[in-house]
Formats: sequence, structure tokens, C-alpha cells
Amino acid sequence: MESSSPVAAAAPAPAGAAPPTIVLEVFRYLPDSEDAPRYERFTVPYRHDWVVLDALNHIKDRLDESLAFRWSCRMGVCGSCGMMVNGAPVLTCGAFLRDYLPGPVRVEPLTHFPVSRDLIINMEDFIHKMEAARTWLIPKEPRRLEEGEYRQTPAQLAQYKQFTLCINCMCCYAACPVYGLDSTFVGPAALALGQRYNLDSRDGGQAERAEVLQSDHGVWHCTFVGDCSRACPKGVDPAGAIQMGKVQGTVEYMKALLLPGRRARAQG
Amino acid sequence: MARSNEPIVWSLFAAGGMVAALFLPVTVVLIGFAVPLGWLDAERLWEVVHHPLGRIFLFVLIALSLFHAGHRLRFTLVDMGLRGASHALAGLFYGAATLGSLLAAWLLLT
Amino acid sequence: MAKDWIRPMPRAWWLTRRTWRVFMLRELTSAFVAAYAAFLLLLLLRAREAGDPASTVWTGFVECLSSPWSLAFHGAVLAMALLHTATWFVAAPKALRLFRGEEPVPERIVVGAHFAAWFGASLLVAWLVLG
Ligand code: FES
Repeated sequence: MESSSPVAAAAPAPAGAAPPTIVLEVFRYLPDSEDAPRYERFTVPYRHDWVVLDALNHIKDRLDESLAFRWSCRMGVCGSCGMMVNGAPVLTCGAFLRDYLPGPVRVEPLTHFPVSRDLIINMEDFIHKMEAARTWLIPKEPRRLEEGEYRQTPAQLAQYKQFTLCINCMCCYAACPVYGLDSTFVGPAALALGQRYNLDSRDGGQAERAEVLQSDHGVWHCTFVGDCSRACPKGVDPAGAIQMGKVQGTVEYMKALLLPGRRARAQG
Repeated sequence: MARSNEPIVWSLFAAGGMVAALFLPVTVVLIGFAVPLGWLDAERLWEVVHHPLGRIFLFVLIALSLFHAGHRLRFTLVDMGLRGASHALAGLFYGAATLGSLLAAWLLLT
Repeated sequence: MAKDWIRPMPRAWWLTRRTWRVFMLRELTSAFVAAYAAFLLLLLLRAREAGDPASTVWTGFVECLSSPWSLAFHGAVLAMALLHTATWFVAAPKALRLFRGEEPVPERIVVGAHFAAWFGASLLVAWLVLG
């Protein structure tokens, strides 16, 4: 809210003065008993150090135990508490109520995903996308245990390090209109993690991953809206990873065009 | 899933985006404002347009701008709801860009 | 087995978030880029038709450039072309990630280099033409 909100203007209260309560408008969908979703208003105590997740837990503990939502770590690490708060995808364990004063605060499940119940989305499609993009290390040269670890210089690590910070919270999918319009799009996090392994000096899975990353549903589906990178709570830049993927894919494509046989060899 | 052929049109889009970003504003200023202001007269503009460098400049600017814009408009319309017509839009926009480029080549290089 | 609830995107989805409106404006600069390419083709057609710089076809066309219609058209194209330039350069470091050893080159340096190149190129073209 602007600092010129009527509350602040009318009452120049000491710092820390705050309303005793705040209203949450929570998206409810109870498929067993109701045909359609609705919004339910809950009035919860306002605490300066409360995040939206604290308010949801207060509702579940004191007001309505049927409210369903996911969370685990409460510290921005597990990636399970992503929801729409006032229309923006955020981790609710990092979204302070004080940033949404005076309320009401609208809490909805992440957009662009089917809703299973209340604030819980069906993440099956996301899991499939992660598998399709092969978001794990495919060693360039398999080594036996006694041969020791895979070595890597700090400069090689720097190439992909920021993309390792992804916690799979799916906020970027809820931010991405391209995924919302057409869920055949592989989507930001899976493409960024695919790129993360492609950039890893120990990895040799580029050709295998390209079947998905460089398909019409991969990087080429992206129109670079860029909201994935703005939404990411961990500062990962999926939009950047995807643009890099386009550039590298183009270079590979042109090489294969100009030097026929190269691609066949590369794919073994 | 098959690898996409999108790199062909995307590289034209990207090259066109860069050329338009670098050279379109100055071109618009020179033709649209320097001429009315009298800094550039009809004869000088004629010379510039027929100078070998001017011809190459205009050909590259026109052809790549057309491919840049065609690619972007195709995806914009797809995103705005014409997903079903994606192939038709590709044919329309890349076809128009190709025709425009051929016309520019004929006008400038012959 | 309970049914999942699907929330389709509204038809005018791109109006619903500020960043999406900005995105759409960025994409629509391309319509003006295309319009200007078409205008340049018209200019070349007129030149071919005229065949000579003294021909009234050419001098008439050049006179038209001072008309309010032309000024409005060029004003609109210039505004959108500048928006294209700015958004294009700001996006450039996304595709072009440079490293100096372990340190990524800051994005603002890559963006700044693009603007500097743009400034230099514009001056060069203007100097060559106006000479
Ligand atoms: S609860 Fe783990 S990220 Fe929010």
C-alpha cells in the first residue's frame, strides 16, 4: 500500500502501531462436497512478524481445520508453500502480512495448475516436465568409485551455480502466461534446470536433453515475457537460461546444417 | 519430440531485432524529421538512397526488420488466442517478409 | 475420485497484470517496425518511378514528408522504435552471459555497451548522411 493510505494520514501513530486484525480472503475448493470454488473471509490477528503462512496456520488451528494447504520448512527452502497472494505468485512463508496492509489479503492456489483442493494444486504435470527435461547429471564419462570424484574449477562452477538455487516451488509456472495458455510448454524451471546441467562441465547429456529442450515445446515456445525471473523467490533467472538455450540451440542447428554428419556423430 | 526448426526464423528475428534497435531510430529521425527541418534536401536524400552503402544499409534494414516483426507478430497473435492458426500465421508473416525482402532486393540491387 | 478444478486464462489475459501489459506493448513495437519497413519500400518505389532526382514524383514525395500526416506517422514510429531499442538492449544480457573468470560481467555493463554502440552507430549514420 502507498504511504498515503487513509489510515496513515488520519492517525500519525507511533511506529509499530498496527491494526489488531487483518482479513484473509481464501480460495476454497472442496471437491467432495461443493461443485465450484468460492472465497471465504477469515479475520486473523495481525502480528508484525507474521507471514501469510502463519495466518493460514492460525486459521487451520483455530478457525477451520478443513483448510488444506502445503508447507514444510517455513524458511524458504522446501518450495512447498507457493501460492498467489493478491494475484502474485510468492512463497507464503516469506510474504509478510505487513506488506499487505491494511488488507484484505487474497490467497489463492498457484495459477495455471489444476486445483485439487483449497490451496493445493495438482503438480503432476510439473513432475513430468522435470523428468522430460532430464534435470539431473548425466556424466560425460562414467567413473568408478575408486577413480575419485569429478573435479571442477570454480570458474566452471560459476557457469551454472545460480541455476542450482531452484527449489521447485513452481512460482515461475504461475507467473508464466505461455504455460498458462498452453501447458504443453515445458516451462521455466524445467528448462532452467536442463540448462543448469547442460552448463555443467561434468555433464554429457546435452544431446539427450535437446530432444525436449530444443523441441517446439521447449525453449522455442517461450516468448520471453520474463515474469518467471521476476517471480523467482530464489533469484534464479529462468528467462535468461531459456534465452541462452535459444542461442546455443541456434548455434548447434547452424553447425549441423553447414557440417552435415556432425550431429549424427555427436549423438553417437 | 523432434528438434525444432525454429532456429532458422529465430536467428532472422534476433538479427532483425538488433539491426532495428541500432538503426531504426536514426533512420526515422533522418527521413521523418531532418527532411522537414531542411537539414536534408530531396537531392541529397536521392544520393543517399542510391549510394552503394545506402543501398546495402536499406536492404539489410528492410529485410531483417520484416523478419523480426513477422516473427514477433506471429507469436503475439498466437498468445492473443490464435494458437490454432499458428501454422497459417507463420506462412502469412514469413511469406510477407520474404516477398518484401525480394521487392527490396529488386529495388535496391538492380 | 474428486475432480480437479481448472481455471482457464481469460481471453484478455494480457490486460490482467502490469508486466503482461508492458510485454504486449513491447511485442507491438514490431507492428511499427514492419510499418516503417513498408514505408521504406514505398520510398524506394517512388524513387524508381521518378528515375531522376528532379522529377516531380520524387520532389513531391519528399515534400509530403513535411505534411502533418507524415510527422505524426514518424513521431509514432520513432516512439515505438525507441521503446524497441530500449527493451531490446535491456534484454540483451539474458542471452549473452559473459564471465571474467569466476565473476559474471554485471548486466548493466552489457546493457551500457549496447547503448554506447547504439549512440555511436546513430551518430555515424547521421554524419554520413548529413555530412
Ligand atoms: S514452507 Fe518451505 S518454502 Fe515456504
